[in-house]
Amino acid sequence: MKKIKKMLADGIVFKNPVLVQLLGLCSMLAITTSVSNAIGMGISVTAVLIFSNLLISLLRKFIPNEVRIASYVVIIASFVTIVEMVVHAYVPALYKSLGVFLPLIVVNCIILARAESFASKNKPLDSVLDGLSMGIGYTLALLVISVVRELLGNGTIAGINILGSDYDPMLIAILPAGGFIILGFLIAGMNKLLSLRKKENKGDEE
Amino acid sequence: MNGQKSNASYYFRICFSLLVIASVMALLLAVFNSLTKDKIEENTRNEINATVKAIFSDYGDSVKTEVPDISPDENSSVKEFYTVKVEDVIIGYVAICEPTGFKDVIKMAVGISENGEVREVKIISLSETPGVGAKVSEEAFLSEFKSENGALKVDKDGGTIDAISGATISSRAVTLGVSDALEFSEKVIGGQK
Repeated sequence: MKKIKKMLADGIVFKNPVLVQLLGLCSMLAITTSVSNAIGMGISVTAVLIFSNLLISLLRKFIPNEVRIASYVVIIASFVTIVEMVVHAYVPALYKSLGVFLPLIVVNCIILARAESFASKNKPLDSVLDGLSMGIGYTLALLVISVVRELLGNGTIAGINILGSDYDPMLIAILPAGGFIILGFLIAGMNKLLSLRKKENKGDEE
Repeated sequence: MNGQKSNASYYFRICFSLLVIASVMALLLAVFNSLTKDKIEENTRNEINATVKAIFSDYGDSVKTEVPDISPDENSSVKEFYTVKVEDVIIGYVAICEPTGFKDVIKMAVGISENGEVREVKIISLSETPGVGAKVSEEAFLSEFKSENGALKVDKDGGTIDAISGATISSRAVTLGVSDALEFSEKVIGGQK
């Protein structure tokens, strides 16, 4: 139980893939213009993370070291394609709005990073948990960013008008430059949060 | 070291594992492909039917689509074309066009009446700049095309269509889509006489 809590805390806060590890930023910038896209993307990435971490962990003693990256990429790309097919068939609206960024999950650094640094060295159940917690951390980061961007840049959250029809949208929030700036603020905030905790811990030890 | 592996068995082990992994993943892909293929096709057909029904909404559910004998040019932005009939009488046409906009392809549907005039233009999907090029999907711009026929151009190019200020390329793209649709529909109408 304690392990589960620790892994979740790592994925969501201490090793948050977007705000701390700074991975997968390209697709994040493009997707977080709308809250519904961000959630859809987050779920897709989480699904791929869980399945690829699971399979790579199961095969970790079988894959020769020399071809491990090639093997990981084959596995990850296949799972992304499977997720793509499922989304296309059962959530076609999401498939359309994610567009090219759904297949681009293959090159999302988070997935390869977790495969290399965790799944290849840990047991299957732990790897599934790692995939899940990193996926949750990724989704939450995307959620926060997309709420800010959609609200400022469009006056809506998930399509629901919040700021009223007189709101003059701050267009830069929807453009990549604005997304980058908003990301910067969030990373700064996360850094502050983590440093405060460090101070707290240091204080406890004295 | 535990004694050296012979070169042959070392390479064999590497190739064999890659082969196994690739085969297993290929099998998984084939399974999921066959599971989802039909649903995807069904969705696409439903989408086209829904677009056609929305454009010809006064005819209700009895609209049927047919593909004409001729196909659009490869260079034309018209990618799909349907003759719309109600009980074997042609009531119009729908062209699905994909002209290149500022950022990416703009997917649009042009509804044309049986005498070759624009009935309605709908934007199906686009990735233009929000607040600028994306404004081409607004009714204010699209309604300019109603009842038009012939080769259309934006005002900047000497034509009659009011482009959206700051979004010349997106406006041009939609105008091209409508023009190409009208041009091809003339061929189809001509072929039916």
